[in-house]
Amino acid sequence: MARLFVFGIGGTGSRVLKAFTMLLASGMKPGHFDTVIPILIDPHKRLPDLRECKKLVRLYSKINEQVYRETADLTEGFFITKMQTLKAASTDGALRDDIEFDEEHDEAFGDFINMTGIHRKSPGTMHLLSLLYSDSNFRQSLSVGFKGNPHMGSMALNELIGGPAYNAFKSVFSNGDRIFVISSVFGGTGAAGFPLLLQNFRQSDKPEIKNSPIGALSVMPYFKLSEPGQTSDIDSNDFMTKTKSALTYYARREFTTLFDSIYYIADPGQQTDPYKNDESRQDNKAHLVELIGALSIFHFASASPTRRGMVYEYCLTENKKQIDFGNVGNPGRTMMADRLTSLHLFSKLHPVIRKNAAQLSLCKLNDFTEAFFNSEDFTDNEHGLELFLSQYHKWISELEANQRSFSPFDLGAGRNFSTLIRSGRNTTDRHLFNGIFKRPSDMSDLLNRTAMASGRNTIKRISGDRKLCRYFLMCYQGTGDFIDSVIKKGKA
Amino acid sequence: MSKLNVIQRGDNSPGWNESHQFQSAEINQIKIINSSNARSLNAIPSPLARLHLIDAAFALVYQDELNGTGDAGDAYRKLVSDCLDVFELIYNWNTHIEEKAELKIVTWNKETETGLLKQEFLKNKEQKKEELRRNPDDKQSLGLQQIDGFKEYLVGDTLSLFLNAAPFDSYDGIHIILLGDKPLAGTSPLTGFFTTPNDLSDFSLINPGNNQRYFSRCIPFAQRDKRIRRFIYDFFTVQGREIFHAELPVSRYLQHHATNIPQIPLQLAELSAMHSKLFNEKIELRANAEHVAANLLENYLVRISYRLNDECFYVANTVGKQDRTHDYLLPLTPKFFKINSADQIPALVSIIEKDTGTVEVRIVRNGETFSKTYQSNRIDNRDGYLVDLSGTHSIKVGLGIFPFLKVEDDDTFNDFYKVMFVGQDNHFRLSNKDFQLKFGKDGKVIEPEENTVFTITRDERMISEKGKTLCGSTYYSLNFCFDFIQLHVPVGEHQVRCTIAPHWVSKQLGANQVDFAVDFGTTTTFVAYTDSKNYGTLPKNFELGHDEVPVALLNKPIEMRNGIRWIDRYEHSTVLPDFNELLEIQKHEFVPSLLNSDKYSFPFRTVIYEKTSVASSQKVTLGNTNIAFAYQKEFNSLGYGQTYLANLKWSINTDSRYKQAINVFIEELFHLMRVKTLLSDGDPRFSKISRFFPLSFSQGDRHAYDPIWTQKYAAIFKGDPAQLRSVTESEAPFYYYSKIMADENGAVRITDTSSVITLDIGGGTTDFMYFRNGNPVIGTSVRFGANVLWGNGYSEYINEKSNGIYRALKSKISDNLKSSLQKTLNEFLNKPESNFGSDEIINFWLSCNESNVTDELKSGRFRFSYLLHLSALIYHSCKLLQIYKHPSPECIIFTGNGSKYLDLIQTPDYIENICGFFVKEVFGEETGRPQVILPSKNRKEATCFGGLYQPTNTTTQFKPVSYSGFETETDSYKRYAEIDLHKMHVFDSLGATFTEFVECLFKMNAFPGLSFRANFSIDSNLMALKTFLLQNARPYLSTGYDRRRKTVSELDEVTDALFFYPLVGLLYQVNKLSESELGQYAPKTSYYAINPDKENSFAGTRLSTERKPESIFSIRVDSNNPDHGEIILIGDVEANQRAMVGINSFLRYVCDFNEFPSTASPDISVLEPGRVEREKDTDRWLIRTKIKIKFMPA
Repeated sequence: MARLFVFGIGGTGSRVLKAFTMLLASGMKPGHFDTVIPILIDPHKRLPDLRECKKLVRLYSKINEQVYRETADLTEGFFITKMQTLKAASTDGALRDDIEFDEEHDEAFGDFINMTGIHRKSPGTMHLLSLLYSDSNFRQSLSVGFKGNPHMGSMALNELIGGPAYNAFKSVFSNGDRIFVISSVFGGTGAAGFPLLLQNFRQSDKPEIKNSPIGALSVMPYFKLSEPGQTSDIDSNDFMTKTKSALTYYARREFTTLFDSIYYIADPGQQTDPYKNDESRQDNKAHLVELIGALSIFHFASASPTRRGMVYEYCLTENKKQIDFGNVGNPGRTMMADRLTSLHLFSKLHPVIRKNAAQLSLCKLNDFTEAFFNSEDFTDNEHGLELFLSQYHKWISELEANQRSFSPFDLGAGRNFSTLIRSGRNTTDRHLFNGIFKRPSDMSDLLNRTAMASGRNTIKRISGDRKLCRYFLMCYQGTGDFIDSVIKKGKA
Repeated sequence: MSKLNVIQRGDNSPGWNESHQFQSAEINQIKIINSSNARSLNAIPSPLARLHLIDAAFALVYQDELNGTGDAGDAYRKLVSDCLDVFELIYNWNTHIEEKAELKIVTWNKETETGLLKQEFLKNKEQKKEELRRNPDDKQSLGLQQIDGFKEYLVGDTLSLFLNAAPFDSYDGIHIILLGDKPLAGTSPLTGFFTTPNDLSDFSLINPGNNQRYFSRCIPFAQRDKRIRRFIYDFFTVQGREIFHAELPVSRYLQHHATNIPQIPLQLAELSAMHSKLFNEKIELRANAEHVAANLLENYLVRISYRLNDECFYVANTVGKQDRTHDYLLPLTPKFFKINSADQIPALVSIIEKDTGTVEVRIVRNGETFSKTYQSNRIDNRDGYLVDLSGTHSIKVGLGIFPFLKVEDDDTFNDFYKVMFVGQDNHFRLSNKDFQLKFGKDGKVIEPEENTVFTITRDERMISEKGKTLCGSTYYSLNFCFDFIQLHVPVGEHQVRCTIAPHWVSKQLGANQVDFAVDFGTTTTFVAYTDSKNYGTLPKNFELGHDEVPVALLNKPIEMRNGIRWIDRYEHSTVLPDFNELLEIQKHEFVPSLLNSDKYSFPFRTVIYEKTSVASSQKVTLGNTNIAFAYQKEFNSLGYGQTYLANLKWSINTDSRYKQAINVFIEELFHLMRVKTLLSDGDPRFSKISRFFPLSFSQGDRHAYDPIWTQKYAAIFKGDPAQLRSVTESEAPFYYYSKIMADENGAVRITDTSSVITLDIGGGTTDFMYFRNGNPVIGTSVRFGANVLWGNGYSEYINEKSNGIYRALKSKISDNLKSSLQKTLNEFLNKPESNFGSDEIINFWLSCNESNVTDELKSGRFRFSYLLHLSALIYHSCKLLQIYKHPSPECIIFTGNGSKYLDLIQTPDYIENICGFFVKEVFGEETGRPQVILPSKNRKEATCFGGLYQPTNTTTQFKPVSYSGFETETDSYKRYAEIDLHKMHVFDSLGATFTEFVECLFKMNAFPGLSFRANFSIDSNLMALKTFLLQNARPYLSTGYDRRRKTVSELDEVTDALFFYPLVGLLYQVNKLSESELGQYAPKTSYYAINPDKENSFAGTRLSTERKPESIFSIRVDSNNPDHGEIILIGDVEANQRAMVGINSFLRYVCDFNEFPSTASPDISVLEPGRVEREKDTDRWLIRTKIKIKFMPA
């Protein structure tokens, strides 16, 4: 029961974690880790990214629990990896939040650190602090992140260490577990939290933590903001300057010994239309970089680190504005294409099955009645599958709509699947999607494959009263078979 | 292939692939669109971001310099520059400390300080845990944030967390450089130092190496001074070898520049007063000990529009036109004086005039040249500003120093210096407060607010506005001898600073004894001195001549040449043609350049010039108050806010204003005398000083004066208090006249010293002293000085000008005054609003010494008053001797400035005759005529000279006595209370004495050779005068006595002769009486008549001089006008009745009346007398005007 603790720091942390959740939902597995414990760190509580991410994680977690409860033997399937909240994992009932670390701060940084108190106790420290922080830093409010001031963040976020959430993490963490930290280097919160966490892990009094393999994703600039108006402190022109100084810091020998693997990712210059610069919302569309970033978690989870300070970077096959499975790069495609396609097909398949439940034999056979589909497991506004699928759809649509678009699927495709998968045409790797279906296919093929899968033993083994699990597995296998037989050139 | 990365690098296989950490070269390739925003520099996720950031900046700038690229961005280049600036600051550390910059280095110890931050929280946490343990049921968790002290703990904890990680973990703390209370940099094992993220662009310190503010510009390493490069390089590679390993960006950066590090040895010294061992004490900070041009030369060179006084000030060797009319104030810093003495200035410093607007200043010292170019239009920032202060900026400055003397071997006498500063701005911008003088000693500027033994106080004195010109004076008082003066002038936005170095007259304490005698008089003050051992030579007037100049003026005096006086060297109109105000201020507010017979000579008027707004207790000698040497000698146009204060001597107890003025006066005199002593190779501690007091000083007066004299003597001369002696004013002249044979002033030796009177006539008092066989025996003083003649009787207003002589002569004398200066002064004194009384003005007239002025004063009209004054003094003196049973005087000595009026009476032989007359009158015919000593001038000298000659081995034997003029052995009064008790008796007795005196005086008229008319041209009606004196004596006696009683208490002893009280009022009136007013007092003859012989006349033969029972009319005839008379009806009932009988027969011819009487025997009232005139031929008295009468019912 090895667990992967994934810390998502700041807005970028939430967004990558969202992509990670989608990939987990598709059935991708983070190495041998059967449980993922996501921990979100962001003092900017009202940020939609954070709220959405939390909702999505809870939703996933609920679905996972509903589907796979009592079936420990299953190793594959949508939502197969367990996503547990820290609260659930811990025995500390007083934890305020299940995923997120602690409370919000509205006060100015100077008040947060209590300058008057410091001055009283150690005037010298006040001198030192005013060499480390500018006067305007002290006046700045913490309520909207650290406004691109990670050095403030490093002080403020250290509050978490020693807080109940961190203590819960500490007590839960055990041998074999791993840590992964997602952060950005150009913002405030993420940039600050990452080295802080690293320092704390490595100076921890708990040897399991101190010696744990630690991976990290450092997201560098991949979008830009509209010119800052009177109201915003964030200027994307500075992103690169900040990146430079952060990289210099990361590149130091002292720092590289703190982590096992670091994953750098960025996509500067591709975006031409700036995001709306609104600090309070940061309402940005899902991005390829976040998806690739999420892949790094799987990469780290599967690898066995040999030495400290490993550095990884991601390479696309083509530098194009539109990325699909053809040019995303083979290893990436290998990691996710099957499963993501599977999830995508599931999202198309489920509404059809549900609509035709009365007629479809696979439903009749498995007693997937209208009532079954109307149950909370599907329709609940907080933890129903359909909610998740609609989230998925929104997400995948955003990925396509963004500049440096990721559009592996023809989102406009209807029942006809002939053009569903987008892929480069010149690839010779027969394991890869090439966009040319072996033969024309449509929804009916998928339904067939699913019906066939429902007859399999693996599915039949699942007891009748666990229809939901049976349904998920059926769809998983059905979509998988469909991909293998219809989309791929052949199986290895 | 395309990397999802900030730069394209490394392995291009698709997917997540292994790469390597970013190298700084790679980081540098990251393109930055705009890095000007300093906020972007906060990106390093550590509280120690700033340290890493500077490190990163070095890495990036290094890459750029290595590859010739420019990718780092301005923000990073500036960080490197700022960091290097910190090293420059350290290098210049000691210079800044000397400049009083509040720089310091404090130590922040990691363990200690974070411990302090954590302490409270940890304690509270344990308590909380304990509580939880005791209540296990409580589901509460340990909410750390809720524990007090959590926030500080967090800071401490976070700092520990990062500081305990490499590379900081091996250092026990951080050293912080503070300016005042503002931290500006700290130590960093990455880059040596790191700077504050706060804006340093307005950092106040100027880097003396480049005259720029630190942190204001971005200066690459290669462009820094060679010494700085060496300094920085050594810091990292020599001292910091173990700390800064070769891989650090800063090490690489410096290694890159290694070939450009000059092989010059640096002269370094410890940081001034600062703990400076850094990095676990492995590096000791050191600072430059060499001198750099910027240390020695100011940034401004001030050009002034006059030549500097190179006799009194050290000037640079100026290479320019020899006949130039300008000069430059020294642009030398305090540092210069630290390593050189001021006397080296001419040898070391050159000022070289180059092109117009360009001047180079060069210091050549030990073969090394420090040079700085000053330009009026500065092009290069390293150059200084040439400030043409008087030309371009219309600002004029000048100063004077008193005393200009330094005692080399005894600093205790270098305890009093006054610096006069005059600043003028022709554009109405700067006033006194804008100019600042600072004073330096031993290479340091002494700040007044610093608590040292050195005190500097500043008094702003005068400010005048004339059109657009503001001119003011400020005085600095110092208790130490300074090496240089720093002048601060704000010129536009510049705070201009320049230096003035006095070339002190240097003296050693000599062995001479210089003795002084000071006669502090009512009107004038005189000082005499002698430096001859055993008084073997004549005493001398106090002088400070052309080789003893007491004041050093910054401006050069003109050359001495034929036809000018020494004083003209300093005061001639060509000395400062465009800045005459300075000289005027010096004359009036400070000390004149010379005190000798040229102009400002002793005796001078006892007058103080002072700032009016100053409270009495705040008077500062030569700060806001001074002796008015130029009073009535020079016109004063200094304007409002200042005033003269005269009449000091007798006012000591009336008002603290006077007392403090006297204090200042005496203090200034003492300093002048000390200067004289030192210049005469004397030691002030040997000096004996005699001071004089009049006998009429009350106990209170003595008590008020004594501490002033003793304190000043002790503070300034520092000798044995016994060397300060008191001598009575009237005693002193005797010693002089009994020693000399004759002096140049016409004084002669006393021929018979057996019985000698001295009469010291001052303005306010006359002091009498009697010597019997060479010893003073009795003395007295009366408040009857010369000013009784010139003043306003018993008026209580000092500025009253009702004096008869003054009124009569005012306009005439104003016309007669010859010199324009005298005219101007006279006009000034006579202004109705001026504060001067007639006595003051007439004394001024007398001081003019012009014959056509004194001729007016000699007019016969006024001579009677002079004669009366003198007579009263002599008469009273003789009576005094008589009452004390002394023989008649053989010699009478007149001294005192007030005795000038004697010269207005007649020549000295007449004075001798007058004295002889009274001696005979009092002592009898057989007595001989006494010798009279009346020098032709300088009658005050005798007092002072005598004071010096007073025998030191005998104690004064005389007793002060008082004699009011009437007493007898049985009838005497000691205290005012006794007089009060028997006032009528006393007044009657005094009246009798006074009448005796008046009779005696008029008897003199008949004495051969002393006829009032013939010998003194007194043509007034003498009989009327006599009557006037006799009739009016009593009321003035009352007034005088009442006035006296206001100032003395009933138990006070009577010290003032009441005899003179009537005279004070009478003398005032005598000169005011018109002829007709006087006529009122002429004696009359009365004739009586029964009736007219004819209708309109009385026959002279029928008039009787005795009234008969039947007399009806009375005719009164003025003895001066014997042919005219006044006629009245005798006013008694009987005469009236007889007149009524003749109402128709004769009364109506002699009298005018409107109505006949209603009753038979009415009262007759005379409304107006009639006038009659004698027809000489017929001896008939004709009725010219009838008597106006009215009949009244009885």
